[in-house]
Amino acid sequence: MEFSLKIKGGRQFNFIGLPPIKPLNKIATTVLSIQLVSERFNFHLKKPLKQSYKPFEPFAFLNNDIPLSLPFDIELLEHKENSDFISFTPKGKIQKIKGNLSPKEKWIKGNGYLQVLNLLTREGIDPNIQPSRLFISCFSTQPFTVDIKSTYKKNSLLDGIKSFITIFEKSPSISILLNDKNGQLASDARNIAKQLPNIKVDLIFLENKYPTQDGTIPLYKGLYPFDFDKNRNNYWIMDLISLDASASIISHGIVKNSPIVIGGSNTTTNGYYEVSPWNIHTNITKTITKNQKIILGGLLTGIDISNNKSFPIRPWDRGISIIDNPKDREMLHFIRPGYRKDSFSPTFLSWFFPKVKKDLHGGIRGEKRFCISCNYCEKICPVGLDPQILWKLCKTDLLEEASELGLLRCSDCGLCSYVCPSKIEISKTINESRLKWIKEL
Amino acid sequence: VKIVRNFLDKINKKTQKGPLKYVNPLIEAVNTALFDPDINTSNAPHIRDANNNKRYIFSVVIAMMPILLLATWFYGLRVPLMVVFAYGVGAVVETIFAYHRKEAVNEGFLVTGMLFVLIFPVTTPLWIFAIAIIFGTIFGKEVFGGVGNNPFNPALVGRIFAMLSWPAQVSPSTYITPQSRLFDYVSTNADAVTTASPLSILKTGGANSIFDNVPLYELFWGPKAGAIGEISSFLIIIGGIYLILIKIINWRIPLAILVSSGITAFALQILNPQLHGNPLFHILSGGVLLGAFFMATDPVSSPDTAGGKWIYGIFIGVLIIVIRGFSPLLEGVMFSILLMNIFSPLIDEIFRHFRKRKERSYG
Repeated sequence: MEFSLKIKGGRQFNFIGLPPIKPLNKIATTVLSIQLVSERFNFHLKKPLKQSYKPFEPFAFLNNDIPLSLPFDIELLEHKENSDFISFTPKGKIQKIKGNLSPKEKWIKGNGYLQVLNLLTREGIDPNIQPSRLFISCFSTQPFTVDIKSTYKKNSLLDGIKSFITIFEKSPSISILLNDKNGQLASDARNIAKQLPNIKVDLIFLENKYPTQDGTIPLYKGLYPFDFDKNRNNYWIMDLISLDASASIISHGIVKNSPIVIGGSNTTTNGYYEVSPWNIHTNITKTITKNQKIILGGLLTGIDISNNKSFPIRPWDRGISIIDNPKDREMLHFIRPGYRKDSFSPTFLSWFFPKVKKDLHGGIRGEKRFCISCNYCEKICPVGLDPQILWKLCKTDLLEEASELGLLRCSDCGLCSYVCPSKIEISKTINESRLKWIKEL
Repeated sequence: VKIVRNFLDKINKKTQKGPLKYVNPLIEAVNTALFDPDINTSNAPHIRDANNNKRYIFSVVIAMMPILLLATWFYGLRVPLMVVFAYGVGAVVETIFAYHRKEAVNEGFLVTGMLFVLIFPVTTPLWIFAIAIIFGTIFGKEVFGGVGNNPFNPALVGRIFAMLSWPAQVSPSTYITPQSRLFDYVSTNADAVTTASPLSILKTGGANSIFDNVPLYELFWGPKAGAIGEISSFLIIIGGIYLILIKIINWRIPLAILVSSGITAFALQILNPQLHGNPLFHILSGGVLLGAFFMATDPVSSPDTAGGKWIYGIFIGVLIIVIRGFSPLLEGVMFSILLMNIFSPLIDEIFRHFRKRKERSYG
């Protein structure tokens, strides 16, 4: 049986073996997901907490009203109403619970390493949900594979399932979504199914489809350095496909209550990876070689954490970037297009004029440089803007015309100033004037 | 390679202090031009510099080197002398203006200076050459605010200024026959035999005389009389394709120029086969290839939008053939490129108008 899912932009996904599904919006509220992360972690809830909830009281977690997703060793620092994020920082001492535990306490304690999120709405999990089926997405996408056995040695997928099951009086049945019948992942999943004899475990094989190779799946403008686009797209497409597959099963009455999807992945290649806060990066970057460099955050603003292995990922960091860092110096490197190494060099003629006026955001030595209209920024812009003309308009304060050319659509990724051969801080200027324009509006 | 690298590193370290301090920038420039810089960042802007202005400039210079070497073989030692002379004069002008504006000296002249050499005949007197460089750099570039703000290609401004002011010294009638004279020094056209360039044969003798005197394969392979850079069509095409492959120049402009000039020439040939040459002759003779690959693709003075590049290239191609066919001038490349340079902001503005409409549809 074949069916397809249409998404924005006229493209569609094709599935084999599963019935057609309803529109995403209706199901979205019931689909929840859990993503495997490490033992230390933090939460962000998009939805403001209820007013009756008092986070500072020590017995808070014994109250029935608290969200299930709140970890016990975390202190609530600030709580802004109507804000998108509530940030937490870990307390110095971890409080431990003694004595007999209720199922909910077991959940809180046992699933310390699970991040609970609804994939679509990005909200925390509702404590009153009693799922009858657990969906685990183990999609193999290139260049990633989901390593369920070896990467998280302490908290493997099996442990996650076991601790999850202890919460509920009636244990839910489990569906593992896979896309490769013969691979390593499939055999690992079969092993897991054997080790859970009391629970019904289904292996659901979907069509073997890799987003990067498939023309029917929409991708960003493919000009990110380091194959960034491939990795990013793999991520969200992996989420989307597994979500839709599980949603389709619910919509046809196979499962009545909301399912929960567990996913996880292991990184080896260069790219930008979204990770959850308070994770220690070595959990993710175990397989990275010495010639690679780990940068916390983006390439333009991040910190080099290759040598600092215990550096946690802070709540305001979205992820880590991994790039090549070869130690050899390459002959005639400028001829080869591409970005291999981080480096800087002066513009040599400016050495003769030490007293000329220096611009802070000019070249590396502070010299002011001109835009040569090479158009690299327009080619790389993922949103399809023309950063060069936007920058020129913003510099001359013609913000109204800039907004007509899409100033507000700028996603502030910083790739334009990254590729600029004259090293002009395009994104900084654009961002400043965008904030100015928003204030004027 | 390792030996060279270690040698450069050693010299670089030694000259950082002491009396040789002033030579250090040049050595470091050579060092960082040949190899990656050896310093890795540990703070915020990671990996900024693999794509640098240097990459632009050195790649274009590398693409032009074979042409200059071949020109040296056929025109003698005056060619390297002219390169050195152009760089010298250009550096003085650039430095004066940079100092006046209190800004850094830009490396852009390394390309412009070499372009100056490519578009002048060997027999140009050096004083005319110097005046052309000074005029072109000042009124083509510096008056408008330096590199990045120039509406015209400075080399073409200088060339046209020289051609209109001293036609006897730099016009196509002074082109000498290329023959192997590696160690000769030809300073005036009295030293050598002048010949008619393919285009002047067309102009004087009509289309039939081309078939007898200038076979097409010779236009492609052989050396032909003309400016220094026009010596070999083959090497220009190789250099242009190299630049397109490493993404220094955009492929749209050369393709548009070549195709549109070919189509226009074909149309004119159908109208009057006695007067007008065939398309391939027009493309291979004169400065069409040089203009298409090295002049019109200048990132500053050409349009930025992709559609604008097509229109810019098509108009240049049409204008070249129209000027060649219907005017007393032999060559139309310089004028048509300069004319379209004026229009390139307008073309961009039209395409941005469409972009604005598209933005409105986003809401």
